[in-house]
This record gives sequence, structure tokens and C-alpha cells, in this order.
Amino acid sequence: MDEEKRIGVFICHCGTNIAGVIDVKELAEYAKTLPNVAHAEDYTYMCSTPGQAMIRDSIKENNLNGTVVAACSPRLHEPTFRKATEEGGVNSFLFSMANIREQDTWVHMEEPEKAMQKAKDVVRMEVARASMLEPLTPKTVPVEKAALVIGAGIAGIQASLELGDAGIKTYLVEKEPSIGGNMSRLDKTFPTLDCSQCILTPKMVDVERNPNIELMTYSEVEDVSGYIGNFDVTIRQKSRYVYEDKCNGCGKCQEVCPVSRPNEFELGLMPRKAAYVPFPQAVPLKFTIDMDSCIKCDLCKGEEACGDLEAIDFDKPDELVTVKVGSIIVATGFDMYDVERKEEWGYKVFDNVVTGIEMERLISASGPTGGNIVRPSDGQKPKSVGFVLCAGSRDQDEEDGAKPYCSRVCCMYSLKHAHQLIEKIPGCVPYLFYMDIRSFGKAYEEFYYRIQNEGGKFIRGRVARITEDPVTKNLTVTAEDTLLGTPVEMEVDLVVLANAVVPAESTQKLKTLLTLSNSPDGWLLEAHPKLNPMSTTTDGVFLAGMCQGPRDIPDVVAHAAAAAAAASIPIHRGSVTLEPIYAIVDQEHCGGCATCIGVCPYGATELNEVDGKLLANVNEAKCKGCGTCGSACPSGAIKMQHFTNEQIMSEIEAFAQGW
Amino acid sequence: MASEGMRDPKHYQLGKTQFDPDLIKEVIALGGKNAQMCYQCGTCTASCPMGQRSGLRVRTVMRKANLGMRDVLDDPDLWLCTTCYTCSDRCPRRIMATDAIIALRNIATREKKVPMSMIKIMGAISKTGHGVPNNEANMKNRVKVGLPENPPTTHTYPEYIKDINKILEVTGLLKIREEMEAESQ
Repeated sequence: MDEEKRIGVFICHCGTNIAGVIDVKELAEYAKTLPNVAHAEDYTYMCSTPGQAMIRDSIKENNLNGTVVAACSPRLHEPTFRKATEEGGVNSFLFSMANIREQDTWVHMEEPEKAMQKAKDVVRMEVARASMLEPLTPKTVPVEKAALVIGAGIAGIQASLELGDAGIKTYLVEKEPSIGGNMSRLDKTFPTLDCSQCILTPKMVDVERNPNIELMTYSEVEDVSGYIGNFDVTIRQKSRYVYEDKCNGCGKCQEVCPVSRPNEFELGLMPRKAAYVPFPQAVPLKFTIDMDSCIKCDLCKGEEACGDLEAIDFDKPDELVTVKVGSIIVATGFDMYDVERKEEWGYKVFDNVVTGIEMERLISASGPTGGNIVRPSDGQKPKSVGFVLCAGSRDQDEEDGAKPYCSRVCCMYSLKHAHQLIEKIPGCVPYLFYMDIRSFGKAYEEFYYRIQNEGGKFIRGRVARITEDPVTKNLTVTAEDTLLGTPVEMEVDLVVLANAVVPAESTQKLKTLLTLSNSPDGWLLEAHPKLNPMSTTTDGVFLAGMCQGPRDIPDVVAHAAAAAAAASIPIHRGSVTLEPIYAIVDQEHCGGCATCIGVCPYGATELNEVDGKLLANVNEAKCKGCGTCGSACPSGAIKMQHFTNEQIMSEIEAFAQGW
Repeated sequence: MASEGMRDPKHYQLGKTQFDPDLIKEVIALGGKNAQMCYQCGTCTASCPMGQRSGLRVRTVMRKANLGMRDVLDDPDLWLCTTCYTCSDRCPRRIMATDAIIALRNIATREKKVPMSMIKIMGAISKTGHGVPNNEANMKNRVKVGLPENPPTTHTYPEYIKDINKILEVTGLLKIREEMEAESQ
């Protein structure tokens, strides 16, 4: 590093984001006065084609061997300017970024003078750092030509089919005995009213048939280790107590089983046996024995039932399977908000208050009533039905577990329920109590128009209270008709609470296994909310469907296909480039104390025996470059590449020089 | 102008009618937490036990306060709220609507827009320490359930009435009462 340092400083205006607050010309002039700076200039949009060309050409013209771009966050454009630096013929790690937008002009726009001072400080610090940077070379590692999809609702199914069709071996893991997820509970789907089963079950069968998809139902991900391209995943295949290869799905075990339990798939509206499939169209059509409720009467094994097939074994253990995959898609969906916590609406207190998803089962031809919409208290057809929209959505009441966001599906499924009531029960009037009808999708507003035309009644007011007549079991819904400006009380036969969707409980464990985080609303956090909603901050792990946030079926399918495309990129390329920003251990100084092993949040540090001596080693692929091990190491043996002590100290010194 | 004369007095004209953007700030400063966050769902109005029996419309009060329509201070219904807090309890935006109403009452009182009936109640407080003083029927009921005739308030300790009057004086209420009574005569 004895070569004379010649650094170019490039100041971005970012339109008026930066230039509207500080004097960029003055900043460029200031930069020229700093040590090692050979060139400085400014431009409107440094990230644009002419901006990048400016950097590239300037490196050659001014014989630069390091660059600093003062602009936005490195999270946004570090890759852009690294590339521009590389094109100029300088190692891309000899570039450093000074954030004078997010951390300066955006937050200090009311104090331009202080913002200017801070911009000078930041530029001076980055120039000092750039003078100390060392060229680095990214590493490439091979990628396993297989993928894992966790969760087999419509998102997981779609993603698996895309991956399978692209020739990628795909393991599809589902915790329930059947694939299909929440979509398989739905009757018809808005706004086109095609029946959910008709569009979903063919896809479920496709999954079973696809030679590239290995379906693992009644299974859960137990452990994940490794990194992009090379994940080792341990999957627990819970025992069905039935050999899948022997079970032919005849259902005789179910017929003879004397045990009756609430069927989870039917939300408890219907019983199931201890030997069961969740629903007749289940994929795979293999029976499961719920050992928690089985009384081991052996009837299912008898001559009249399973008999010679010998598919049932009460001693069949869980199995742990390990698979190696290159990328992982999380598609774990959602749960429904526990609307019982809103006491004023009387769910689970009043018989005739049901939730939206229960209404789906009451409408469904394959549901507990065979598609006859009846009210739970007396089996009568409701002639008037109240809908409570935003039941737990758009609600800041954290004490009730309510959610501040819009759930994005409730307006539309309530409109659909209204349509189905009008269609199936002559004379039935649906009353929708709403705050805003959010019919934003393709053909959604038209659907709203259609339901109003069919006789749906819309009352703009949030329901404050529901009471029950103990004799008739009819319900009185109290709200304000805010457009009339008067409170209204309406007696109805049935109330449907369009309850919010909430992040799935089962996602919590995966978050730790895959080092994912969530946004403040609890949904999994994407790499970028607009430009990269299907990736995560863990390389090689992608998101599909509701686990990232509320969305309807068309959006879920699009998101899942996007996740599949993103997940297939490293697999098709065959190798991935890893950032060389990882820790390296100076083995001469390592004492083998293992302090670094405990502190690493990514499991990247390991202790190996070399010539009878215990020495730490950092797995370059797993290391995220957080530097925790380096600061914990008592002998100073760990060096964080690109963030060495010398580089950081030079920045601090440069900062101090300004004061 | 004839056309102006024919206009419904409730026909507000955005941009022409003088709305006061500071009214909501004042309401918040006086304790109406989150009052600016109202999205007009009406849960408050429908929850309000007084709203079922009178013209009090909590949502409308919040609307007017947010738009800065100062005529909300003249609304006699403002004084019908019993401060039961049901609206605040159920509000999905965690607005303390009850406290906002109390804040508006404070502003109205300062501007001498408080109804004379309330001034009369102030007279009772000044005299007895109670807005609704104890009476014979009540006393009988109290004795029936084994309680002393009077509660342990200024009814039992009349020597503290002067302290209550001190509060009325310090808060400026006595002066407002005097002025309003003088004006009404």
C-alpha cells in the first residue's frame, strides 16, 4: 500500500433531496482540500448513466485509485457505485460511500448550516477510510440444485410448481396432513366467483404428480444450517401412524373409528374421527391417526377395516430427514385474529355471531351444512345478516391484540358473502357496516357495484356493540350511520365478523432458524418493500404470500411466482458470489478460547484442532461481517475485512480533526 | 345579498368559512389525546349512552373540532356527556374522546359559552360543595341501607366548602359566573 493515494470524491445532488438543503458546490470544493483527494465534482443524479460514466471516466482521466460517493444510503446504491468503480479499473472495495441524504439532509433539512457541517464531516471521514481500504476479491461457492418451500397453501403450491417446472428439485414441507392451506377452506373467490376448490385442487394434484416436487406433509422444519447455495435442512416427518405407501385412502379406518373430535379444518363446526383426512379432497389422500385422541381400540386394524393392507402401526415413530438445498422459500401464510377478544361483538358468547372464515364453511358445498347457509342457533336460514368490517383491522387497540393495518381481503370477501346470501336465500338482505370499502383490485370496484345493484345495503359506521335476544337468539347491531349522523340499532338473524388476518404463530420458530426479522406489524420483513418484496436479509431465503403481509389470492400467486423466480436464480447460475466482508482469524494469535463461538449470531465461527492445537475458524459463507467476534476476541486475533481496526480508527481520527 | 340570506346557516363553505386550525391543537393540549387521529367511524356515537337519548353525537363533535368549526363550542349537547368513557374505551384509534369533550367544555367556559344551567350547577357547588346536593329522599335511602344520612363530603364537613370556593376562584370560574349572571340580567 505504498502507492500514492489518489481519491476521487463525487457529490450527488439527488435532485433537490441533497442540493435543496446544502451547497453541493461548496462541499465539492471542501473535498478538494482533504488529504489524498485528487479530484472532486458534483452531479444531479450520480446513480444515473451519465453519473456513473462520470465516475468511470474520472478514474481514468485523473488516475484515481480510490473513490468516495457522497449520496444516499449504501443500502440503496453501494452496488451501483461499486460497479462504476470497477468499470473504471479500480477494485470495487476501494470505494466508500458517504451517506449525506438519509443521515443528513433528510433529517436536518430544518438546519441547513448544521447539515452542511455534518456533510463535510462525513465526507472527510469517508475519504480517510477510503485511503485505508484494501482491495478484496469476492468468493464464489457452488449451489445445490434443489429448493425447499415451507408451507403448502396456495403460495407454497404456486412457488413449488414454478420451481418444479423450471427443473429444480423441490421439497415442499407442510405441517398439516394435507396441502391446500386456508384457500382450501374457501367456497368461491372474489371477484370472478370461481370456486376455490375448482381452481385449487387441480394445482394440488399437479404438485403430487410433478416429478421434481417431493411432498412432505405432516412435517415441520426442525433445523436449518448453512448458507445460500448450501443449506442443510432437518425436517421432522411426524408419524401419521399410517404407512403412506400402504394406505390406499379407502377410508375404512375412519368408518369404524369410534372417536369423535372437532375437525380443525372445519374450524370445529363439524366432527372428525381419530383416524381422519382433514377434508375429502386432501392431497395426499392418506389417513392420519390423531394419537392424542386415539383410544387404541384396534378397530381400524381389524378385518372389516384396514385388515390385510396393514397400513396402520401405532408404534410408527417420527422420522428426521435431512435435505440439502440451494435456496429456501417461506410460505407460511396467516392466522385469523382472535376476535373473541373484542367483547363488545360477542363472538363465542352469542350463537349467531360467526367469523368470515366460518361463513366460508357454512356456504361451502363441502362444508358442514352442505352449502345450506343456516344460523348456528336453530338451523334456520337467516333473512337478514349484519357484516362487521374491519373486525380487528385498522385498530390501534394493542391490548385487544387488534392490528393497525388493513387486512386487504375482508371488504371483498364480505361483498362476496353478501352476493352469495342474496343468491342462495330469496329475500335475504345483507347489511355491511363499513368505514371504507376498499375494492382496489382488478374488477373489484365493479364487483362492489354489482353487489349494491343486487340489493346489498351499506351502512357507513363501525359497529360499537352487538346484543342478543335470549329467546329468539336474534342480534341487535348498534352503530352510527355516520352519513345520516344518527345512531342505528338493527335486528338481524346472523352477524359475520370480517376478522383481521394476523401473522401465523407457526412462523415464529422459523424466524429464529432462518435469522429473519419482522416489520413492526409482525409480518416477515422483506429486503425492500417496493423493489424486492420477495427477498429477505438472509441470502438465499425468500418470502411468498401472506407471511410477508396481507394480500389476496391474485397477489399471493404473483408474489409466489416472483419468489420462485428469485430463488431459482442462484440455482440456475450454479454458483453464488459471496461478499468478501467476513472475519478472518490470525491463527498465530488465536488462543483457542472459543469466546468467538458463543457470540456469533450466525453460527459462522467454529473451533478446529490443527496440529494438536485448538484454533478458531470463520466460515466465510456463513459470516455476515457483523464484527461481533472481532470485538469479543481477547487476543485481537480476528480481523474484520473491509472494517479493520485501522480503517475504523482512521474515520474516527478524521472526525475528530473537524472539531 | 339575497342569495346569501337564503343560504342554510349550516351550509359551510370550505375556504370561505373561517375554520380555526388551532382549535384541535388546543383540545389536544387540554388533554384530548390523539384527537387529531379521528377517522370518523362512529363507534363513539354508537357506544354513547347519552347519544341514544339525546342529540349528543361524539363523532360530530370530533369532526367539528378537527376542522376547527368553533360553533361546536355553542352546542348545548356538548354538556350532556356523562364522562362514562365508553367511547374512549372502544375507539379503534385510541382517541380519548371524553377528554376531548372536557377540553372543549373548558374552552367554551372561558369564552362564556357555557349554558346558564351549568352556571346554576356551579352555584350549587359553591354553596354546598355538590353539583347535585343530597336531598331527603336520598337521605332516607342511605339510612335504609345502613349508611349515615350524608356522605363523608362537604355535607359532613361543611368547613371545607370555603376551600372548594377557593378552587372556583383560582380557576377563574367564579369570575366567569359573576360576569355571565350580570350579563344575563
